[in-house]
Amino acid sequence: MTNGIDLDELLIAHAAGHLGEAAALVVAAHLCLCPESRRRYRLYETLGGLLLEELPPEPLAPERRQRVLAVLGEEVADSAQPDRTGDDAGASGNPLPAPLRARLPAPLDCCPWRRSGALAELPLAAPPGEPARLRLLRLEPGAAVPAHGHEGLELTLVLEGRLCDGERMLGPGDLAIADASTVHAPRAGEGEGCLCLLCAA
Amino acid sequence: MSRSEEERTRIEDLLAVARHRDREAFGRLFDYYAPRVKAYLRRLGADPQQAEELAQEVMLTVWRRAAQYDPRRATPGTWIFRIARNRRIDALRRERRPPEAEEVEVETEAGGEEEAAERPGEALEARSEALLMERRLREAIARLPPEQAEILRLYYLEEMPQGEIADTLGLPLGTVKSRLRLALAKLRDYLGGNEASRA
Repeated sequence: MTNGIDLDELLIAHAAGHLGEAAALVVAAHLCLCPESRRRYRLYETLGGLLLEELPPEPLAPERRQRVLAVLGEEVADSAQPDRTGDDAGASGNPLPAPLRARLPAPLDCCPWRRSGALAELPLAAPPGEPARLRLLRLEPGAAVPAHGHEGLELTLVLEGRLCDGERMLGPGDLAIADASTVHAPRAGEGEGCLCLLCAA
Repeated sequence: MSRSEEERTRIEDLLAVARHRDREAFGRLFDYYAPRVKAYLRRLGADPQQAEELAQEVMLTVWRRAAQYDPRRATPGTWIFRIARNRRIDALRRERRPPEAEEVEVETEAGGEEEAAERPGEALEARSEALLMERRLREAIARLPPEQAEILRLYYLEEMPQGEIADTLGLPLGTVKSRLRLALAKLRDYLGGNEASRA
């Protein structure tokens, strides 16, 4: 057993609220695309709720309750129904899951991509105080990322096309987790290229 | 009242808040959840004052967003845990979040599964897949070796990366990781196994 992190640890870390914002965004996007992870994630959130309910209650000052009940009338109900189209990726011709779309400055093709050979990169604005870098990466068919290691956790979420990472062939919604012990040179599938979301510490 | 009656009452209360803006029902939910949310936030490092303020905000969010609660997808406890967790993250990071962030959470959760259509007459129990999951999960936790259950509690209820849990318990990091993984695998097996045997 290595000290590396696996998908379940990532999901439970997200459920418990332990991920930084960049990693949390990648995991949220992954969840939009992967029903199996969604199922597990629900289990981990249920676990959180259960542990919350088991906690010995710590009473609030009585005036807190009065204050909250007093302002209820002023609170406008948020009547929006939950959106049931969570995995709508592709339905609108947009490959991006909602959490990511919300973070893009403009439609994908209008964004300031930085091209370098068969690779194009689009850095996404990092939230203040967030050490991890977040970016979109577009690879032309067969193009490879130069072999590299990592100082910390690197998450790669495939959004479109195929990405070959060592022995593993990743498709849309698949997540590759690399850490300090990983050296890899992911390569886009022949014939279709690849769009992925990367978060690196 | 038995535990499951209490659980059902809380679901009914939350639905009454959603449908009828029922203040008495909200008062009961406040009395039950606010002190638990406060305890949760205290464990995660908030001071008492801050924990009360955040718990108050969490409960107001419950009031505002009750219409988004879907009993099939989550128990009230899970739903409120999620709100409390997100509030805490927001407060701790003190970051400006895009206004979409909240809705994003909803969409992530909604994840294109079956519609939660209203089916009057159908027992709440039958609708609440979430309640069943929670019940089985509780059974599964009760069956875990105590040291694995402890790791789960520490993991969710303390602001502790695994390395610190290891230091606190005086265990090697590998042991903490393997206990956490074993605990998760057992929970999944237990729930998965039950689902399979039900099918």
